Amino acid sequence: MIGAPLQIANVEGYLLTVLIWVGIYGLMALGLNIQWGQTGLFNIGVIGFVAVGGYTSATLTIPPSSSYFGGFGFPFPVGLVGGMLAAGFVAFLIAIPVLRLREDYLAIATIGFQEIIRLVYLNEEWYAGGPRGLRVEAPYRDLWESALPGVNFNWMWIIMLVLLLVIFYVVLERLNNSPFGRVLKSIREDEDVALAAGKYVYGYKMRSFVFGCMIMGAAGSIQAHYIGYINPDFFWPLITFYVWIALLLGGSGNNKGAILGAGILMLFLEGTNLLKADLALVSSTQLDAMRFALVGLLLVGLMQYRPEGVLGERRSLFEGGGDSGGSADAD
Amino acid sequence: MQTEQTESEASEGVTEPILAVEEVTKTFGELLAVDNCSFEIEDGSITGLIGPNGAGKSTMFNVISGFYQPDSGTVRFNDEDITGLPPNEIAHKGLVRTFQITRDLTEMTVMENMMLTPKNQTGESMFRAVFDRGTIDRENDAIAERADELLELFQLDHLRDEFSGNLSGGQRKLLEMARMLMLEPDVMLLDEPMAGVNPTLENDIVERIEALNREEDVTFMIVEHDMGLVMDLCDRIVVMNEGTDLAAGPPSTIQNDERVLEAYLGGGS
Amino acid sequence: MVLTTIIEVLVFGLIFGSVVALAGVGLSLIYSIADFPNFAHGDYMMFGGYMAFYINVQLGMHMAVAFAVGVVSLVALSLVIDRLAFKPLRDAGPVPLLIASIGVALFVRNLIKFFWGTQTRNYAGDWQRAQEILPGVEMTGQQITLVVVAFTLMFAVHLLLSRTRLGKSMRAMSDNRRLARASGIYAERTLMWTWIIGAALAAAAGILLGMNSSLAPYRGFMILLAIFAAVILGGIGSPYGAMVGGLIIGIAYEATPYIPGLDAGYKFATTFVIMIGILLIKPQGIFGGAVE
Repeated sequence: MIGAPLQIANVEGYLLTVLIWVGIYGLMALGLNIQWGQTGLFNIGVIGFVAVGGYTSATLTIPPSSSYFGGFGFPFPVGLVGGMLAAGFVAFLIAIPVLRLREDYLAIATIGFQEIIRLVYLNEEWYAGGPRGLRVEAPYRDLWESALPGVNFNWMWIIMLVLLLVIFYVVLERLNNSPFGRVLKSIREDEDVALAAGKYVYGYKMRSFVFGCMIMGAAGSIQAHYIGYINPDFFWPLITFYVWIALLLGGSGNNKGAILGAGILMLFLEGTNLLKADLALVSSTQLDAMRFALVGLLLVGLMQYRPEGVLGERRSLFEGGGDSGGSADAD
Repeated sequence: MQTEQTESEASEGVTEPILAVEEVTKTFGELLAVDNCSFEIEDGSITGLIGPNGAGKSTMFNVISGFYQPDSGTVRFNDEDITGLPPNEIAHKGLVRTFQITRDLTEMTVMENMMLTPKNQTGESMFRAVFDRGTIDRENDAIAERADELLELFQLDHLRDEFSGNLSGGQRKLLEMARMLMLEPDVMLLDEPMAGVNPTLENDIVERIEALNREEDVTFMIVEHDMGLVMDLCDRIVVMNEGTDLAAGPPSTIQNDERVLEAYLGGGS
Repeated sequence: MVLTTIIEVLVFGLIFGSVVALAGVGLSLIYSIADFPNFAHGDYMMFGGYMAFYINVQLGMHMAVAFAVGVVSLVALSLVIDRLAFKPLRDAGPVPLLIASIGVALFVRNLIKFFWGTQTRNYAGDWQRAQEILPGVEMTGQQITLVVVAFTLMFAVHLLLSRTRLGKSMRAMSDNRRLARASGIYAERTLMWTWIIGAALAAAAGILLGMNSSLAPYRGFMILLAIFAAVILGGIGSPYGAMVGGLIIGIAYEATPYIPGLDAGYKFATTFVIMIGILLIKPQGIFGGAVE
């Protein structure tokens, strides 16, 4: 699923691949950070919005064909922006019912929607080929190769990801350090206080949720074009948990931490993946199982020993939103 | 406009209610928490809301401030029907509340707490928050100035940049009041502002309430269990028992009201 | 024709629904008493199912023995996990517990993958012979066993909750978590029994699911979504709600292919849409009261 090839012979290519995935997960983690880190919205349907971004971007940019919906042949930026908008729109529709719910309901609802989104892409073959998926072209390849012959094309992705990360980082930091960000924080800490202070909590939650999902949509668009291929197998719930681990590792509430966490996550996943070559004791399925079991233990350990992550802002991470008793003070 | 009108009438000695609760009933399933309760609060007064445990005082506060929807009855504020409005709209109309168990924004600094509340800040728009930093900085400066004044008044200025989670219980009560004052309210509902506060700080809070009432024309309604304190501080007292209003009047009358004595003694608490 | 289809949907809905209901009762009790949605519940089911597979197929013993071992081993595992993973987070509120349970889910699922691989597995025995139980509707021996066992177990839970002191304290704790938790040892004991009962039911549900179709590491997570739907439909903390919710979800699941525009691929999606609908109209569920 991570798609990291074991061609250590080509060190540059390998490192670039890893870095590109750090960037893609970094984007997803940034999107999750405004939702969970800043607002306390428990979204465990991340990969569903990534999927919407990816599929929409693919449909907008691929050439027309009778074997799938559209193929509109637009340039890549249209796909990227379209993917973001589509992810945001789907997020908006989902948020209408679920944002009014308690955080554990929101968790269950988002994880369910994520699965429904995957099932739709899997079953609606007319739209994007169902399980076969779509072939997606990488943009600017010819341009790159004629302008910089001999330079690894993946540098183009690095440049693009760095650009996007910087843009979103700056935007998120500005939001964070503004009255808007203050309201998000107050919702995260205690929704009732925000209400009592005159803030229209639902509207703020909605904007935070939709914007976060748009960033996830951008990640989906990049992912689809980078891999050159999109199908429902890229969107298993496990990826959502990777994004959560990245954010929790780096530190909820901290945008730098979100990107750093993505880096640590990839280091861990790739590090354990490289072991594969050296360990002949167990089969590769078993080794994969061990890696993922370790990911599970990591989540539990993080909760127990370092809920605030490496650079976390949320020290008593969960107490604010955790009191779900509403405003029903005892009399 | 309406506020001015009521103020002028009040100054003529006509007792105009700024807040009126009319026949409010609120049930939770089988439980009748507030039962056909009515009372009025005079503009510029400090009114105590007392009653035995379980009388429905906090439920009443939650109904008035919009956190609960009443089953029936109306709440009027400044001659306007505010029944069923969401809490945020009620707060913006100038009717604010504090919570019985202090709700703190633990991981925000004292200053951030204060700057949260003012309404219609430009930077609450996402677009302006990103692209209009100049306006936001100017507004922030103005808000911060007002916040500093209030913090000084509440003697919290030395804690300006402290996380509010690190404050003592009493300091949090003060911060909560100060935070809500940033909305420049006409009426403040205080739910047990002295609970868990040491006597020195208790005096401070009483002084603040009296000063705000006198100098800034803030009307108060206070739920409090310390009878001595209520009788001293309040101009008028409303007694609730078993979900309904039992008696209302100046402290001297209430103290000698047999029904009230009976409710407290009979209630066993 | 139409009637036969309806009866068929109802019968198959009953079969799948009783698995969901059985697991749902446990999940609902844990949700309300331990105070968090256990995302590992589906993988717990699979673990119970695979342990039974080990006894039944790899050791070649009788299915009844396999059933017992499956239940006992999952109970043991769940108690160890509660001790190591959840107990240290008991006072941290529902969210850290929820995240930890996702970690536990990944761990248990991959434990299964490690020992049994990723391929689907079936129990031994050939009693698939279908019998016509109603005109035009056939059920296999497994399916009949499944329904009988599931209903017997649910009846046992009913007796336990309504007739025993443990049941009484479980209900009390589910009604007022915070208060009950404050009463210390008593609450810890009740919580332990909740895990034991929840895990036993989960293992039973997993084994029955395996008998009816097959086992696969990922299946636990898929079915978890349907179980959540049943629990929320019935009202969190209401075991009877989970039973009824399970049956409704089971029927909706099996009816999906007959809904115009949908096919069998959307079975899980339908159950989820129902859940979202309930959350919108009546978030406390059809039988619930003690959500807030």
